Amino acid sequence: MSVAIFLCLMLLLALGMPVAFSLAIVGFTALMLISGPQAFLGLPTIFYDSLDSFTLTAIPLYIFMASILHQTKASDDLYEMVKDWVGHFSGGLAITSSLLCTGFAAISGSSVAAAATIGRLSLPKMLEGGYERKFTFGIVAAGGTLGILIPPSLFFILFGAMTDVSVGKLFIAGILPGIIASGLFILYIIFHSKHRKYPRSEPTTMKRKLESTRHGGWLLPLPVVVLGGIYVGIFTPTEAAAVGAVYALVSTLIKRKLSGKILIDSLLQTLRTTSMIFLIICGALLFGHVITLLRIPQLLIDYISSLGLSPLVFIILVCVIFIFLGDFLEVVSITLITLPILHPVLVALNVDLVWFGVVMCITMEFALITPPVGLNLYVIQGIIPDANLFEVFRGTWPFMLLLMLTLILVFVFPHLAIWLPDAVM
Amino acid sequence: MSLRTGLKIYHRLVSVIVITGGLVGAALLFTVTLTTFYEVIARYLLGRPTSWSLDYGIYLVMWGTFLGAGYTLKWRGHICVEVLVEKLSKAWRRNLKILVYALSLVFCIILAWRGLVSCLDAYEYSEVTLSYSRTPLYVPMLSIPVGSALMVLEIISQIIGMFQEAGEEK
Repeated sequence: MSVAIFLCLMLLLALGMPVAFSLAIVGFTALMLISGPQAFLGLPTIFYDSLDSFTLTAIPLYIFMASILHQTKASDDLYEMVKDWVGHFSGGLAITSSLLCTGFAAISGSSVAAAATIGRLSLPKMLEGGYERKFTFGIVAAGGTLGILIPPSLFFILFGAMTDVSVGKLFIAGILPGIIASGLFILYIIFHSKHRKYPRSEPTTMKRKLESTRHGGWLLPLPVVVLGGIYVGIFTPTEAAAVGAVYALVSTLIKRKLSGKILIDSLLQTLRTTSMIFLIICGALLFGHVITLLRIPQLLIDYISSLGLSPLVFIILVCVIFIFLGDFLEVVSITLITLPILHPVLVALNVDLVWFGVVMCITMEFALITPPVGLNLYVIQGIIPDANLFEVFRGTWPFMLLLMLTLILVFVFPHLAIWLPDAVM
Repeated sequence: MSLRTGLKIYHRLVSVIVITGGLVGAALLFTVTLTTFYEVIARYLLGRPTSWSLDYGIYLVMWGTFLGAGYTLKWRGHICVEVLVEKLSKAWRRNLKILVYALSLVFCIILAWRGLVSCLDAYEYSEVTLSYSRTPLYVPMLSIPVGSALMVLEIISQIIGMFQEAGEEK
């Protein structure tokens, strides 16, 4: 039966059924086969319980905040500011884009939002500046993936909600690996740009630098308030999201960037994304309920111990599976489908869940940039319509190697992920 | 009234209902932002944390999710795997979509029906939520049948739309 369930799920997904319905229908049908008419009674309760969590409330709030900043083009000022500071290095525009991706990752919890916001701004400028097409595509597509690793992060909220790990801890754990990945990206960009002799802009005067910082720096306190607040324990990640959203609203209002239309559009966009994610959560927990009833995690644990696999080898295998799944599914679906199965196994194997969260997050970044289903690749295509999917993909692979290096570093030095949260929380 | 005008009215009506659901849902998400922010203010500036903001935040998001479910379907905002389906001919793709939607329709009808029964039970036995606010359970629970009903309306409208499209091509 277990095998049949997974085959049915794959079939429905392949037929193009929305992920939420595929999970719910397979889950519900299996539940009827197992427990008969009882399944009808339990159905609404399972849906209700899936969403009865204050942790999940953070999701629409972070999406709303990013949506406001995206639609008001708030990052334009930031772009000018960063360009004035680093534009005179070789590959200045590329470094600017990469830094902005990192910066926007610290404001928004979504990789797609980061790539879309920064890409809209920086891709045309880099292409005008004579940069190689696939290189510019790679910078934004891969740079954007940091959105889920650098807090706040929708991935970590989902992971925390599914595993009962503190979202605050996961957020803090993502900081160091995020900075390392971002640093590696920038080193590669500098190296590559020197080699290709990309143009640099004229150095700007200190006066100009301070002027553009004053003009564009109004977003800088945002990550400090949001992360700082969680860090010192003033508020929960959900409250931090609300504070951030209100900050975004008020500051864009003062800057005269916010209009009634933008507010409504942002809210509707937030609603669509929230509804999409939350229905997948309902479907996944229904599916997960069946997985638990069938004792699939226990079977998996027995199987692993009969093979004599060490936890480390098991996790490496899991990572390979994640990266494979990432070719066909997007991050929310992979997270919600696999965690109900993996969570009990990880607990049984005594794996540090905060560390595993960071490891899984990095593998999910691959999912965003591997075809055929790599959302960030489509984001680039949405901005530069004549960009071919594989052209974008070719641009991302050097960055994928660097992400792989980050993953290996987190494997070899687990403290990169667990030291900071342990030290402060 | 011909079948054609009847269907036209149905499409129009569903469109209005579903978009209204979307707008109300969006307003609820805005409210959550404000209530959660108010909780922080109430705790630190007024020194009086609220007893309701946590629970109501959850219930508002729940209502938002389900009120927005039909609207999201209309926008084709529910993520699906399209890589394989894209390879098929247009007619086949449509047939497959009708099948997929029909299955989803059955599920949404069951969810709406069972959700409503659960709400009526919760109302009759005066059940309350297990949280601090002890809100009557049917209040958040009702979002499930309402949202499922919106999806049912929207899915039927889309299935009819696909049949009409197929008819016109013939």
